[in-house]
Amino acid sequence: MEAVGAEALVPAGEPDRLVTGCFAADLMSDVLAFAQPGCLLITGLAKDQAVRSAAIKNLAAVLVVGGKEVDHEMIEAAQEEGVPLYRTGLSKYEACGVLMQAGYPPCGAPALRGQEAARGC
Amino acid sequence: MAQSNELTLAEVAQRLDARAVAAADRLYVAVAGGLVSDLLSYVMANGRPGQVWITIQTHPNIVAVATLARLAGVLIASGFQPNQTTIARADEEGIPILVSPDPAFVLAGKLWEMGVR
Amino acid sequence: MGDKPLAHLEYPVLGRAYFLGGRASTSLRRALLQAGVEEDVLQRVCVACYEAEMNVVLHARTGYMSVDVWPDRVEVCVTDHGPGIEDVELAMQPGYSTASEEARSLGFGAGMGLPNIRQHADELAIESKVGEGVRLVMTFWRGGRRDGSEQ
Repeated sequence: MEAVGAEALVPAGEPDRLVTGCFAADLMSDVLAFAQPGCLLITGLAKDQAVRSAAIKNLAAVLVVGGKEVDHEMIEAAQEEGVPLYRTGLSKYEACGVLMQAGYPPCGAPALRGQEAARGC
Repeated sequence: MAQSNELTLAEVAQRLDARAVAAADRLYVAVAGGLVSDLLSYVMANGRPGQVWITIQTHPNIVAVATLARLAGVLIASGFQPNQTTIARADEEGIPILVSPDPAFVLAGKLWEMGVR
Repeated sequence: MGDKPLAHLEYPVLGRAYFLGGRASTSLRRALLQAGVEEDVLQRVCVACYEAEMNVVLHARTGYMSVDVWPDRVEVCVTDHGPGIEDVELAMQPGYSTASEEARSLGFGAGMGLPNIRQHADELAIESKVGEGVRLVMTFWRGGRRDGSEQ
């Protein structure tokens, strides 16, 4: 999380979880359908729903971008669900760029391709 | 017209292996930065002229938002496909729409690496 | 192994209670984990339940989620009192949505909810009465997924 200069709003417990990949999304249905366990959710959605989606998909952590204000409910949800919560002042675009450059892999990219057919709208 | 040090949407499309599905005659505009969001209201408020917008939204309203924010174009991620209404509206407004099977994180990461900042 | 489930769970869901949206489903996750439900099964159950829960929160007045864990399957029934769904076929289409701007600001309402539910449940039945409410019945088979032919 240092790569993006993030502050820990709810720090990771011990032992720290390994981030297996990154997934950038604001739509929770997208997270629920396609994020893979262990990945980092990069989101502009500073609401407790983002934390709950992460808990359901067993994600490693949530990174709120754009320096958005994180309300009490979101922090409480993160504590309750045991989901580490971070915030960065970088935009989602910048955060993706910096994290990929730092060597973080995308999450579930191969799986996404296979499901392409089901995704048209 | 694009300056020599700036990438055009056409170059971006080629390097990302993205396909143009609307306003393909408007790809020779310079790309000035990127934006990743699936929240239309966020883009309305934060979009800057010349940016390429990465999203999984395919609703016709993306065209209106891109027009108002004077974005260079929309790049639809994760294999989502815009419907006919969205494409027709984009053609009308001259807003290029590109589609790619790659997820938003990958598209943003690659654009960033290309120097689109 | 008679006709009693291994575990029976019930969760009330309040319409318009945005700040609670998703809470029933994450509680359910913990309960299913405790009941020994396999990770891949409980994840499918919870994804479908979260979408169903948010549908209640965003569209209905009140709702109820009841979950039965059986040795070979998990059965979920979500009922609500609310406006109902006028055209179920149409509502099942990816991208179709009647959700408010408020729903969209919560990261939902992009027309992916029911398609997501269909994708994650092995069996799905939707009954709807306009002006009364919706009843969703979902079955998730444990061990051995669906045959993979659904699309």
